[in-house]
Amino acid sequence: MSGVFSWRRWLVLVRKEFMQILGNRQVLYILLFPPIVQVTILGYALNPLIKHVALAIADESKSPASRELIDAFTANGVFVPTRAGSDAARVYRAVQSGTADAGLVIPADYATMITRGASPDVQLVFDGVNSYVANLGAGYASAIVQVYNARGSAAPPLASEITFAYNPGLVTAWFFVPGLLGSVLMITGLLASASASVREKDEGTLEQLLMTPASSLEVLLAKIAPLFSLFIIAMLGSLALSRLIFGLPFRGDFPLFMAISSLYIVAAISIGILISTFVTTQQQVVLISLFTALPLMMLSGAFAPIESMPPAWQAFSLINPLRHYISIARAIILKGAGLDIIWPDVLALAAFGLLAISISATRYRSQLR
Amino acid sequence: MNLGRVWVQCLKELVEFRRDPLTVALAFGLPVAMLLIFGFAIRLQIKNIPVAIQDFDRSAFSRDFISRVDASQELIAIPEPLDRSPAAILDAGAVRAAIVIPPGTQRAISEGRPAAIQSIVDGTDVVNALTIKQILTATSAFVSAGYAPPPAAPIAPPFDAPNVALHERIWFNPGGNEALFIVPGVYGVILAMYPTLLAAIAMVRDKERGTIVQAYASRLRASELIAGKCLALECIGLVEALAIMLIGWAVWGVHFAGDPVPFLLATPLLVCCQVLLGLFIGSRMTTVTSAIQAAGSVNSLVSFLLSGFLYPVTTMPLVFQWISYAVPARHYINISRDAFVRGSGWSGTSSEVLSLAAIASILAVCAWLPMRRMQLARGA
Repeated sequence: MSGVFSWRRWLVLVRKEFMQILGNRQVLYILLFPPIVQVTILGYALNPLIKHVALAIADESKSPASRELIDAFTANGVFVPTRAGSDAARVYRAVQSGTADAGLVIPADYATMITRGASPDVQLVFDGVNSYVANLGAGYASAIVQVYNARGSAAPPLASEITFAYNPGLVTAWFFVPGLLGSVLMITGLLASASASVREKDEGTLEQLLMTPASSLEVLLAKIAPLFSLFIIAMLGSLALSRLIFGLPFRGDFPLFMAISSLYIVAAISIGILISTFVTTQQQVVLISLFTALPLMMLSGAFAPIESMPPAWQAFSLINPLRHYISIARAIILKGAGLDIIWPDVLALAAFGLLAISISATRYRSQLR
Repeated sequence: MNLGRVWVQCLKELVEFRRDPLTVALAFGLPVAMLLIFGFAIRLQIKNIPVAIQDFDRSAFSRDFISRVDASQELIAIPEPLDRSPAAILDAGAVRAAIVIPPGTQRAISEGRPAAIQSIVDGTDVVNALTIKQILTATSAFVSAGYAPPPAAPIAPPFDAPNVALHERIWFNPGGNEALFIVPGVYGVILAMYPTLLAAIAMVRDKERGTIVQAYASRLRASELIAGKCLALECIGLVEALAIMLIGWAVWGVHFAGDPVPFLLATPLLVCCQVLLGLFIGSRMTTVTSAIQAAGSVNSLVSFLLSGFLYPVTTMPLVFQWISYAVPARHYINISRDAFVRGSGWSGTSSEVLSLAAIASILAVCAWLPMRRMQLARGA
């Protein structure tokens, strides 16, 4: 094996890899289509804001005052009244059986208490089976009652002037697209590169490559090239579609974003190749790749907030390349941030990328011998 | 259908599975490891969001306000020097909101003049942003009330100043233990993922190695081939299920809250759905790589995100709510949460169990159709 990197030899190898990928329509379709579709469809479908929470109401007061409170609850579409009966027992039963997500019970003496200036007790129970809905709903409900209580008080209340930066319309897709983009590139990149290189081992063509004068680095980089270009296309495609569908802005430096994304894609492919050096069959490839990719996704802040994780897991997520890529992507795309702000993440990602490439190159070489 | 041949086909699959010890170890070790990671690390409840506060007022009110913001579970108040602009603080990216208490706020409140607390909130994470807004609005209303002048005249009844006391209770999971929400959901995600993968690979491997031709040439019928493979993978899937549920019980104390029968029926049904889906994918795809991509990435992302595991299905656009009815994991997660948390038994879950059975029968036909002639596809 010659140690010198030869561009000509490399280009021949690249051509071979491209022909192998382009030769199989199914593979091509499966590498390009799902990433683009997943980013846009899931960006459209995922909605972390709760709405249509089915609220069973027992209005035992049946007065203008109680109807006013009910209106306050159902005005903004978070709570939707169900037709569950008018007494407390039926409301509780509806929540217990899961037919209603929450139940509101207004006592019979509600109106008289209000008129006397006393403070009536209103019960609100949540179905805690979905603790996500229950927690957010409880927060909404207390805010609704606080605002309801505050209206018409004597002093002008202290106002809270709030502006939302970066995403003034609070479009949820703007939040999800960078996370989904990173996740999908990781999961597809890992699976595709790992399974393609194990295939070579499986079919015995790895030995043929060993007999050629090509160095292991040339072989490895040639393997990366076609997948890399496909994923760049997939990434640009999903960004363009997101712009078209969700009006996703691009506020930062595009070349900077492309450079970092390339680094990230190479890192994902290298992890895949690294996995392929440990295993021998396709079954093992899939199992290990998915097992690597899904926790990386969950511990990245793409869906579940990192701040809410137990401290040990937060520390652990610092070695997750996806976490850094997502925070970079959000910063560049949505905030227009430059290197002066995102450099810690870039540094971490670069360190990780270099480590992944060098370990997988070493492992790959030892495999060739 | 000849049951003897089904049984032999099933044994053949199990022997093939056992022959590769690493795959056996992975097929059981990975679901368990995934359960542990997800069960310990995924928390959706918002906690510890850092917000910067610039206090220009330096009064009793502003100190009260800051300590009350900090006392909330959701936010951490970080005092910020006064020389940076709020926009620059937010741009630096270390905090999710920059809050300014302008000078003279307490005096304005106590004299009954209008005053305002200004904040810029990072809108990138929408749930975070709305939570911050809620807390700031509630806190400023609550704290300022203590500094407001006493009303000049008693307020006129009836509705001018209602004083409703809201008592909120969360049933079934009063401690807000998030593991009780996440773990029964993870059961569904894991059982939707791994059996499908193993099935897709089992199907396509025969094709890629060419050994399927031997099955085609034998007297074996398509229904027997599929039933045999399905039975073998069903066994593997059920052992996986048992393993993760024992661990869920040992680690988080997740146990049946009521009648377990619907859940005990639904588990084999879900595994059956997922295995049939895997066999279907395997029969349509020609190479292991493409089968893996289809079964692996698409199926796991769909089971993961369109099943209600994280965000409730009802918040999705209507079209996706309809699509999610076809996702077996969605029904299973509902049944699983009911069995382990609510415990309402058949009354709350019978329709979900029926849906799973319906999906399983549709998938059985789908898996059988492309194989029914037991012939090589033209051009293959």
